[in-house]
Amino acid sequence: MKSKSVHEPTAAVMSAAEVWEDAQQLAEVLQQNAWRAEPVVKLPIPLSILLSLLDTLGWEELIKLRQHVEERLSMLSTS
Amino acid sequence: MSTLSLINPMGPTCAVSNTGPLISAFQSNSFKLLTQIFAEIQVSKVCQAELIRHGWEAEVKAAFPKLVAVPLAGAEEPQALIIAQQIARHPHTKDPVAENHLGEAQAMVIALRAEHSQNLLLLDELAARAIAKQRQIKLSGFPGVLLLAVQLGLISAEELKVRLDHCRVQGTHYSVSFIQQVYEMASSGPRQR
Repeated sequence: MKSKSVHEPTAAVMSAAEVWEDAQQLAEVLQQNAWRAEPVVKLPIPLSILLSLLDTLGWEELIKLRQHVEERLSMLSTS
Repeated sequence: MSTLSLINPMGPTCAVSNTGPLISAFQSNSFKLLTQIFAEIQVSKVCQAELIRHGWEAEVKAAFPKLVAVPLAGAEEPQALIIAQQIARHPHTKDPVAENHLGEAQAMVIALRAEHSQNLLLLDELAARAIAKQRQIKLSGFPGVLLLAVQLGLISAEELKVRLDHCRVQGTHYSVSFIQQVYEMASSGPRQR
C-alpha cells in the first residue's frame, strides 16, 4: 500500500481563536442557506396584530424598524 | 445557535476544499461528517493531484460523488497564478515558490465563482487564509468544521480532540497546545480571545 503523507507539513495554520471564528462563520452560512432553502408561505395577519407585535420589540429593533419605515416612506413619497 | 435544523442531509450548502483540510478529514475518518454538513465538496484539479500524490487516492475515489474535482476555465488559470504569487509573497508563507501554492489558489478561484457566493472555502494555511479574507471569501479550517459539529451535537468535544490528535500524529501541523485550546472551546465556549 502506498504510504500516506500530509501536504505542506510545516505551513503555519490558523490559531485557536480563528477556529472559533471559523465555526461561527460556518454556522452563519448554514443558517442563511437553510433559510433560503426553506419554503416560503404568505401569512395574512390583521394590521392590529402587526402593530401589537411592535410592543415586544426592544430599543435596537425599534431603531432599525424606524429606519426601515423612513426609507419606505421616502420611496413611496417619490414614486 | 443550538439546533440541528442547520443540517440537512440534502442541504444547500457546498464547500470548496483545499488539500490540507481534506487530508485531515481522511486522517481522522471525518469525511462522512463533512458530508453531514455539506451537500457536496469540490476540489480543484491541482488539489486532486496533490491528494493522490500524498497517497490518498483510494479515499478520494471512495468519497465520490460527494467529493468532486472541478477544472478551471481557461480564463481562470491566470487568476489562480496571480493568487498563488500573492500567497508566495505573504509574510506567513514559508515556501516562496508560487507554483507550490497553485492548489489553494485554484480552490480560491473556484470559491470566487458566483455559484459559490453562498458557500464556503475549507482552508487551514495561514497565508492562504489571509489572501482569501482579502478577497472576501467565506472560509473555515478543518478544526472549525469539527468545532461546529460539536456545537450541533454531531460529535462530542472528546471526539473532536481524538480526531485532531489523529491528524497530528499523522503529521498535520496541529500542535498539542492548539488541540487543547480547541478542545476547551468545544467543551465550554471560547475563553480569552
